[in-house]
Amino acid sequence: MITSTLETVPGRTIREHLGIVQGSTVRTKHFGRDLMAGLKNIVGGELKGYTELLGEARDEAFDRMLEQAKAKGANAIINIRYGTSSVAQGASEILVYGSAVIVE
Amino acid sequence: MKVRNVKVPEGINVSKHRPLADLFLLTAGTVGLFAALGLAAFLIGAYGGRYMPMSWENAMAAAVFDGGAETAEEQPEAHRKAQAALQALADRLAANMELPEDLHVTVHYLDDPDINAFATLGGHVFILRGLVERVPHENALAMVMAHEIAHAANRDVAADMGGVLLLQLVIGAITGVSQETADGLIWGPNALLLRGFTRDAESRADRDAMATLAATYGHVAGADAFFRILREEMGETLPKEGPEFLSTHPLTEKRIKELRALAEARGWTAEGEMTPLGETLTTLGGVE
Amino acid sequence: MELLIELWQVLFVVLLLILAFFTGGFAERRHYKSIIRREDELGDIAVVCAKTLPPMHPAPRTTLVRGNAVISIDYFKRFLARLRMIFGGRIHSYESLMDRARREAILRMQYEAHVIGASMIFNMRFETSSISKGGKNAVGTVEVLAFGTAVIPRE
Repeated sequence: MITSTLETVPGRTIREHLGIVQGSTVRTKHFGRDLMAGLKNIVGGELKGYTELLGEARDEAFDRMLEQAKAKGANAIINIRYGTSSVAQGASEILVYGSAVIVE
Repeated sequence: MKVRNVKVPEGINVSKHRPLADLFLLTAGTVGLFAALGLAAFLIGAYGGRYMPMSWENAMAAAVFDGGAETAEEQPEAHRKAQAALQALADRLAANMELPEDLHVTVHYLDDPDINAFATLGGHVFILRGLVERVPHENALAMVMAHEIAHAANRDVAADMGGVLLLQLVIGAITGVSQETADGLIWGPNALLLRGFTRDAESRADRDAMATLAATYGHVAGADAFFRILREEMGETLPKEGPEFLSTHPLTEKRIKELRALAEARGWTAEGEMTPLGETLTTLGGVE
Repeated sequence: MELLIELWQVLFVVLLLILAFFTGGFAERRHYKSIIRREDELGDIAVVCAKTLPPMHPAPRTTLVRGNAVISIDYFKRFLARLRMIFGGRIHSYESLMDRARREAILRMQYEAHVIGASMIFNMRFETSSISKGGKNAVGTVEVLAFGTAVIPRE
């Protein structure tokens, strides 16, 4: 599966557009990590726990998008975009979407 | 077409600044802002209090003192007589003063050894036993009483109450702290400003009281007797008075001088016969 | 008694401010040092926002890469910012927070591209979100995501 933020796949021609595919997940912060985050909020610095948490959430959203694309029979997703929105206090939705295409 | 990364210099998106200087300036600014807000609240409240109709003040006072009249009836006879004598003196003084139309002076005698007197809302003046025992003659007592009546007549009590009330409200609204803490804040940093306000009121009450004395007795002799007693008393308990800007009342020494200067300026004579205290007031005795 | 408790609270805040001033300053200087060093190391991976690739023969392989960082500001700077919000104007202390988070996110994306042998990243985009922790004015923790298309040249 080719994934790209570009509108084309270099060296290939797009034969068919299969519509958008998306993957999303909603995650909330976790008690243990929150405790450390509270400390870091005082001394400043990177909240590694949150960085990893959001990274894992994006991996999951990305995998879901790939699953959709596979189900559609696509072999590439182009023009991919990420979105993040907070749905509730301390909970975020991670969204990734793009155009599923078949390239030659 | 060539694609290459060119390094950007540091510090374009991040401005250089000194955080500690920033903290100092911002803190000073915030404190100043709140002090100004507090002062404005006090002055507005004080203005409202000073110029509210006398009938409102009386209504408020009535709500507070309703129970007071009943307890006075239960006091022993000596107490009631003393109160009546003080009331008579107050009425004589009030006749020589310019009082707001609805202001009626009510004297309350308190069986308390402190040398003190104070005025509260609605023309209620409290005279403590300690004061009556220490004054050498009626003139000195009249001076103190006229001073307290002047506070009521000048609406100082209502102004003070209005100011403090609004200030408490503003502090509570801004910080959300309890009333107790708000009191701490009022009498802490802001107090220096408020004390200047009350000092002016005190000086004015002193002047009005002097004029009343001159009108009642024909002379102002003995007007400063109370302050002399106060100074002696302070000499015993306190090493010396603090600087004036820290105090609610003008310094005693200064007050005596000011009164003397005022008497000279108005042509009131400081020579004259002292009126002795009536028998009721010389034979008080603490009610055990 | 109540006044005493509130005095303690004030003292506690002052102690936190002093602690945060030193730890926060130290963390920021160390982070910048690390950012500058890694930017030099990964400088050969160009990052651009253009959507069209230069003509390459043979056509390169492309794939999505991303990097993210969640950075929190220290208590001292948050306090400064809150005071600044009363008067308005530039909040110096948050500028460095955003700058650090963006550059860190780009670096992580560049590192991912470096691992898979990419030579450049095209059509890079940022996504910024604030992670509020509790209170209404608790902005002070941001996440920045950088993503783009890694271009891997073929032999």
